[in-house]
Amino acid sequence: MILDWEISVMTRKEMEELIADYAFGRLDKETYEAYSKNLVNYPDIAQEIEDTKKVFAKIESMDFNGIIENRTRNLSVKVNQRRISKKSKNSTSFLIKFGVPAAIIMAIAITIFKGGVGDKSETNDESQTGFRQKLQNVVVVDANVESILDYDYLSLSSQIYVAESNDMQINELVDYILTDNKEEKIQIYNQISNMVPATDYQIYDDIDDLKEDEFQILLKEIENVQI
Amino acid sequence: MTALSLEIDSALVKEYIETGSHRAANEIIRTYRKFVFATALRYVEDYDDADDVAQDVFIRAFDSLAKFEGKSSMKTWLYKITVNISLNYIRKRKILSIFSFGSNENESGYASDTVLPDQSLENSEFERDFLKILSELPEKQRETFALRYFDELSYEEISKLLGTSIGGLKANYHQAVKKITNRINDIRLGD
Repeated sequence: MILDWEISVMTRKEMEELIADYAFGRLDKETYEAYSKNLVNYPDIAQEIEDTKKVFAKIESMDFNGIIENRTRNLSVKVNQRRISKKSKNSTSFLIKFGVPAAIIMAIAITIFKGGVGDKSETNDESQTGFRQKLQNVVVVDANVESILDYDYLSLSSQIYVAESNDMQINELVDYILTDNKEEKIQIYNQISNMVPATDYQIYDDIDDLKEDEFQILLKEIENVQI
Repeated sequence: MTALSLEIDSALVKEYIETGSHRAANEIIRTYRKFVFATALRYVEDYDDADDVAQDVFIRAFDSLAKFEGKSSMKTWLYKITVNISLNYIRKRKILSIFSFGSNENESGYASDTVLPDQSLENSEFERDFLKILSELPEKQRETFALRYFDELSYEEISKLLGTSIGGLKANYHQAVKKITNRINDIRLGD
């Protein structure tokens, strides 16, 4: 029990600072009792406390805590969903940021490589569509070895589609074929025969892959060749 | 902030960092969602925006939970993140409002969407008035009032959050309560 003479006198400033805490019951027991006793000396502060209590009774009745509770009920679900979505976006954005440019660069490199840099023959100017790709694999060369050497430049270059190329370009080989040097011709023939499929089987195999309209195009090309 | 709650926070943080536990994450959200949302609401003054901000706060918090050293309480840490994100949100909103014609950036979002099914129109209007009055207070007074009245923090805790002396906080709190009381009385007398 606090005796009257033990109650400390509180200044106006001290009293004003604790108006709200007193009105809302936030003071500890001893301070509350001391404040209550001092209140008699400050009637205006007592009135302010009454006004505050009335207004805040209304605020209390609004149950803001309940409103916020209602609003945040599903917050954890929303947060978890966004975190999952963010993780998949991160991997997608990584793919878009690095994967797509890398894929484009690779596609360009493959196109250039397959396009055959430096090959100036008429057939190499054609775009590398599926059909042309097949055509490239078809060696339309007469299996008769000796007759190769009789082909002129144009007919040979338009007929021979080499499956695999060595370092020497086909045009250069054709040029050599036109020389009179028989030994050279034989050497060149050997090089050409190494470049083309060794057996007719491979040739016919590739031809079998052609569709009818593709084959017709091939025939037309051959028709233009003088043998 | 009791010693026990600090201990619980540390345990949850540890569990989350070590295992990425959904349980720990959900527990942290459950414990602080109202505090974070209410703080965001005081800044952005719109329930939907506050919802967005609150989500951003927890996502940011979980992303950087490993950096939480436990020197301050989780509440303090989340409060600072919430204020930062809220202020950024307000800035973005202002910039966007420049480019969207016809929208009123000053219009508070506290309006009609706050009416709950069991809430009367009078109550919803009072709620809107009260929140508007709150938004008109200077930031330090508003935050001191809200942290003391709604969140029931001690002056010491509020001092750590706001960087204001305890004497200053008491004065701020008194001023805020007095203004709110006077403004609401003015509105009611005007009705």
